[in-house]
Amino acid sequence: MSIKGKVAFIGYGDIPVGKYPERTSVQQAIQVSLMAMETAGLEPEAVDTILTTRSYADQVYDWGIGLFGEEIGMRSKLEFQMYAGGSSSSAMIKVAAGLILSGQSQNVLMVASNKWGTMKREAAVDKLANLHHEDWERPFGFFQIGAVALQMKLAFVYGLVTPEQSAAVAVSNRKWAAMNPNAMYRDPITIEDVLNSGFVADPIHVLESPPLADGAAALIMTSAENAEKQVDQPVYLLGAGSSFSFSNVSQAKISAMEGQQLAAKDAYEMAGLGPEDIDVASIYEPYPLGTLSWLVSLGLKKNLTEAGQWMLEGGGAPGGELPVTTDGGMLSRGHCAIAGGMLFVVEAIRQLRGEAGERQVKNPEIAVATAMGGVGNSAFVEILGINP
Amino acid sequence: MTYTKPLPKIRPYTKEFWEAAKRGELLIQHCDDCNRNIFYPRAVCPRCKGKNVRYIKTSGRGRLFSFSLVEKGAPPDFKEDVPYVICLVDLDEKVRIGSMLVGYDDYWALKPGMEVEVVFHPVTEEISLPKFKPVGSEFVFPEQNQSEEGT
Repeated sequence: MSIKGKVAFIGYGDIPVGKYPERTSVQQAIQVSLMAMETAGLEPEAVDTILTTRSYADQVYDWGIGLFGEEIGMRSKLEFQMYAGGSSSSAMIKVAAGLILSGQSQNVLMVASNKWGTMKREAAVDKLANLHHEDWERPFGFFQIGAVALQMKLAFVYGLVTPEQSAAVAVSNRKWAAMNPNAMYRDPITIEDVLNSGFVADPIHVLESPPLADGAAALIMTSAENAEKQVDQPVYLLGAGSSFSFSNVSQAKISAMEGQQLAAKDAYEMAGLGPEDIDVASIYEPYPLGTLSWLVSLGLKKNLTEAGQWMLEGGGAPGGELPVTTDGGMLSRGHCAIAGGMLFVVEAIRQLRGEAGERQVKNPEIAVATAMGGVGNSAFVEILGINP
Repeated sequence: MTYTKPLPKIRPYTKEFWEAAKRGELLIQHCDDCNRNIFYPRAVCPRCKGKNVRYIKTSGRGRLFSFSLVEKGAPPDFKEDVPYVICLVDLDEKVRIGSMLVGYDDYWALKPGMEVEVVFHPVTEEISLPKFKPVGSEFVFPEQNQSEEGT
C-alpha cells in the first residue's frame, strides 16, 4: 500500500531561531503548537495524538512523561517521544502517517523544541561528543563535527570539491537567511570570510559549521480527506524514504551519501516523481558538503564537482535555477537540534502554501525536504506537493 | 598528573583486548562461524550473529583511510590536545579502527593510503590506548604517570 497523497500537513508553527535565554523548551513548544493549530484552524481538543522528542537541555530533563500535554493542557489518547537525532522529525512523519492510515489517530501534532543556543557551547559539544562510542571513539578525541570531517575530508583530498565550492553553499544559505525574519544570522558573508574563519576540524571551517541555537517547530498531519475539509491548501505527503547505516563512523558499511541515495530512491518511487519535478529543495545541511551530496543523491546534479560548481555559480541561491534551503538552513537560520530538522519541512510547507514572504518561490507545486541523523547515520527524504 | 579524559570501560568481552594493549599488542576479534574479522569487539558477531568469536593478534599495521586536524571544535576534555588529528585506519587484517594519529611531521603532507602502525598510549594502569603513527616514525609515548605531553 502506498501512502502517496493519503495524508497531508494542515498546520505548521515556528518561532525565531537564535539565543533566547528567557524561553524555556516547553514554552517554545507551546508557542509553535498553538501556531500550528491556528494555521490548521484546529481546536486543541481535535488533536488526539502528540509526538514529542528529546529537548536535550532544559530545567526539566527531556520533558518527563506526558509533560508537554500537561503544560499546554491537552489530553490526548497517545503522547510519546521519538528520537533519531536530526532525523527525529522525519521519523515522526512516517509514524504519524502510519497511525493515521491505520485508523489509530486522526490529527497528529508533532513538536520539537530545543535549547542549544542557551546551553554553554562546551556543554552542548560535550553532550554531542557523548553520542560517540564510549569505548572505541570518545576516548580517542572523536566528536560530532570531527566524525563528519573524517567523511568529508576525502572529497577534498581527491579533488572532487574545492574549498571555494564548499564555501559557496554557506554564502548561498546566508542570502536566503537575509530574507527570513526568523533566521539567526542574516548579514551577508563572502567566500573569503568562510575560508578565513579557521577550521573547526579540517576540512570544515567555522562558517561551514552550524551555530547552535534555541528554536522550536510543530507540524499537524491528518488524512487527505480530513485535510481537504479543514484547510484551503493541504500539503500532501507524496513520498517518504529513509535509510539507516551506522552509528560510529568506523562502522559505516555504506557511506552517508549512499544512504541518502537509498532514501531518495524510495521517496521518488512512492511519489512517482523524479528530480525534474522538484520546484524547491529544503535540504538539511549542517555542513556545506551535505548540501552538495544531497544535490547528487536527489538526482538534481550528476556528481559532487558539478553540484559544487553549480552552487558556486549561484544555482541554488535567490534568483538561481533551483531554490535550495530557502530559510537559510542550519548554517544561517541556526541549528536548533531536532527542531532544526523539522524546520526544513516547515519551510517546504510554507513555500508550497505561498506563505514564505520575501523569499517566496514562484508557484511551487512540488518540494523535497531532507534530514540526516547523527554523523550521517540516517537519511530521510520527504516529497510534498499541493496536489495529492 | 592524573589522566582526566574519557576512558573506555573494561567489560567482560573486552578485558582481553585491554590486557593485550598493556603488553603492546593490538587484538581484534575473529568469528569462527563466518570466518571474518571484527572490530570493535562485540559479544556477538555483527555479520552472522554467531557467538564463536575469539581474539586474534594483529600486525598492528594498516593504512590511513581518512584523517582530520581538529582545531576549534574539540570536546572540552580534549582542549589541551588541540590541534590533534583523529583518523580512520584500515588494518591489514581488513577492519577499520577509529583513533588518533601521532608522530607525523606535516599534517598537510598526509595522504590516504599512507602506511601507519599502532603505538600504545599508556594513560592509566589498566588502559593503554591504541593510537597510530606513520610507519618509520620513532615517536613513542612517555611511560604512564610521567607526562601527558606528546599528543
